[in-house]
Amino acid sequence: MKAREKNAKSYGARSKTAQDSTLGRPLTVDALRELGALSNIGLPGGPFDPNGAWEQTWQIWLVSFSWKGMAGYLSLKRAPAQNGEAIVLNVEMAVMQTARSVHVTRADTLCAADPLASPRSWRIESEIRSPDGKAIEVARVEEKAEVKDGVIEVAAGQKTFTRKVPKTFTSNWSVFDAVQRLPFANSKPLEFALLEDLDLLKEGHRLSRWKDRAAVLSGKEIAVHGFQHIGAGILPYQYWLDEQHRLVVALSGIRAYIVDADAKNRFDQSLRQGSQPGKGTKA
Amino acid sequence: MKTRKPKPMLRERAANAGVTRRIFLQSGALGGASLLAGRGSLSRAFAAGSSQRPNFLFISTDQQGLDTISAYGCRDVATPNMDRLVRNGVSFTESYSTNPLCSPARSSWFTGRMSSETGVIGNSRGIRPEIPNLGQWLSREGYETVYAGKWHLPSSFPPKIPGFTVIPTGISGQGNIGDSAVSRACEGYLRNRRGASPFFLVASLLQPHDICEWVSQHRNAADEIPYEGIAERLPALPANHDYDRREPAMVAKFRRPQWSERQWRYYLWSYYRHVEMADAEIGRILDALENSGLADNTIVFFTSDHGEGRARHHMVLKNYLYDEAAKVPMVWCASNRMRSNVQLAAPLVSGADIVPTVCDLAGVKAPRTAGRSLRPWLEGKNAEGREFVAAEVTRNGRMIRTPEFKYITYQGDPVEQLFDMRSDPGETKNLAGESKYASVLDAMRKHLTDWEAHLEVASPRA
Repeated sequence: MKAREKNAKSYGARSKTAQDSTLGRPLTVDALRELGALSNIGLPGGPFDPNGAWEQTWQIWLVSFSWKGMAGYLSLKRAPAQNGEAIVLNVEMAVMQTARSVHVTRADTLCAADPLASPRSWRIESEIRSPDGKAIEVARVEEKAEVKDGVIEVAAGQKTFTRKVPKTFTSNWSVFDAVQRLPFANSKPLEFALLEDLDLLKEGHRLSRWKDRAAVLSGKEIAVHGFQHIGAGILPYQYWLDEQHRLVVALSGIRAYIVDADAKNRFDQSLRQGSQPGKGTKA
Repeated sequence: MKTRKPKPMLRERAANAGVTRRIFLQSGALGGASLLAGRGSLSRAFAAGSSQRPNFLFISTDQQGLDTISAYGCRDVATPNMDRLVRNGVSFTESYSTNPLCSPARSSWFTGRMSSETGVIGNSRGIRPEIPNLGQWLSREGYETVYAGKWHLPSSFPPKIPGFTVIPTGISGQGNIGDSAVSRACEGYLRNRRGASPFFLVASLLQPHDICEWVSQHRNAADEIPYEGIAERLPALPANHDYDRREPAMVAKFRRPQWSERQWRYYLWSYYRHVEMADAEIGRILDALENSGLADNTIVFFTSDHGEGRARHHMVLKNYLYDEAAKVPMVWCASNRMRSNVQLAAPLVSGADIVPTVCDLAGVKAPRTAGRSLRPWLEGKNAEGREFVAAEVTRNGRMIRTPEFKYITYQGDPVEQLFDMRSDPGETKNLAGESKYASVLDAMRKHLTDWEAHLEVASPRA
């Protein structure tokens, strides 16, 4: 039998295309609502001071061909330090992988008390947990870093190395803090380099005020105030803040962060239930 | 695949067009002071030759066309880390996917066989069990074989892969967040490994594949860009944005969006941001290698499974044989073993060449493959290039590419395509119907017939 005749018999019906996706339009607050992502979330209550001490948690919600749902959480804990001269920002993020392993990132960051919460020193660890919950030791990363005169000095185990960074930079986690402190009126754009996950340098970033709209979270309609963020190596972010400047939804491409005080518990529950983001998808 | 007689001199060109070949090779020979030096500050003393068996770091992206790298002249993207690879290695600029679709192309990477032979002629299929993959092959030779990221043969991100120790990382359809786990896992491995045996580490990133999701999201999007500061930065449409309406039917099948010019350009802008995401993850892995002390004895190679339409011929995505989908990066780096900062327009290269090249460099006998070792070109030795390179697509599409011409045919479709790649690299003028090219067309058909006769085609599946 000729090669192509054999192939034709073998090819089957697996040639589905991107047209199969059910979303079919850009991810927005409205799309999240229609997907059910904004229902039954644990809305944080009480007053919120973005300049004070706070702790917030967001679901990490992913939308792709066959997976639409929560895949992890991001938790930030902020505390003013050094008599108001600095900010301590603690980060914990967990993201389930398709193989049901979990990527956990933790960082303790000392940031300048400036509009960008610019990182000055930090300790970060990355861990891959296998599906049975055990850390895969060979894949573990731990670093301490300090910024001095435009250079990041990194210590990892017995090794040290340095990296140059632009004068004005911040991390993606600091942006979550910074955007909550921006005024809704007469807000000037912030320009910076992004040190994503305190490691990946992406230049030419700009965070600016956008527009206002209404959003329905857990059945309650609220006014939200928008900011947008563009730059190299990211798809544009939308940040939506409530009247108290609390970041309730952030969106970028096919990923969303949805405020939810219960996100950690939900994630643990989904692990126990055996969720698998993207299982069986084409990529 | 057939070979051709050697040319008097390889068709090389320096990355810097003003530099002569002689000067360029000198700079390459002396330029190995820091194999992958980029954002990190550690530098490596140049090591002249090594008798140790080399380690391998295979970095792959998904859905990245060849000309999407700053160092190759793309001004719409910033890829400082891929540029590091280009600067420090040998680039093959006529490099073709064996089959511009994820699983088929990947089956060739790891077996050296065409997708017809591996049985992976569509996505999410497994390699025929009697054909060994590179992990199985090298692990038998004492290599520590480790895999992080996308596999897709058949499962996208399986917890186990024959022949490899898997660090289970990556998320289907979500390179934007899953790739971070992949690169962190590789970083950890490079820092923490303790074994004395050489390693073969695969860092299989998913980006810029998320463009599939973007295209789907924006299929019916309004003709507006909702973000400020982007409209003035949109890339121009490519010169070959238009297309010949008399195409094979299978090609037209993959042409979908009805976008305005602005939407096409917004799509291009967005695609390049996805490429930059992959680039940043590559930077993390290269830094980890550089800082691990292992760089001197590690060969890094980089490719992608297939390209992306990028508005050429009004195309998005992949699964057809125009160059935007079929041509992919292929870069090899090892400062103390290979030349650096060299871009080669010859030989014609295929994804099937990876297995024989790795085996050659590792000093291991290669299994039967459809490829050939690229080692002579990496080391600057003269060698016979291919007469043509072949690729497959879907159930019945075939491509034959010689240095001068490209031929595309789909069995059962009367429309054949023939392009003069010297005068028409954008594949805009189909010469197949012109009597002047009848002999060329006949020669290409004969190449295809001869090539197909040598395939060991997998049996049809139930």
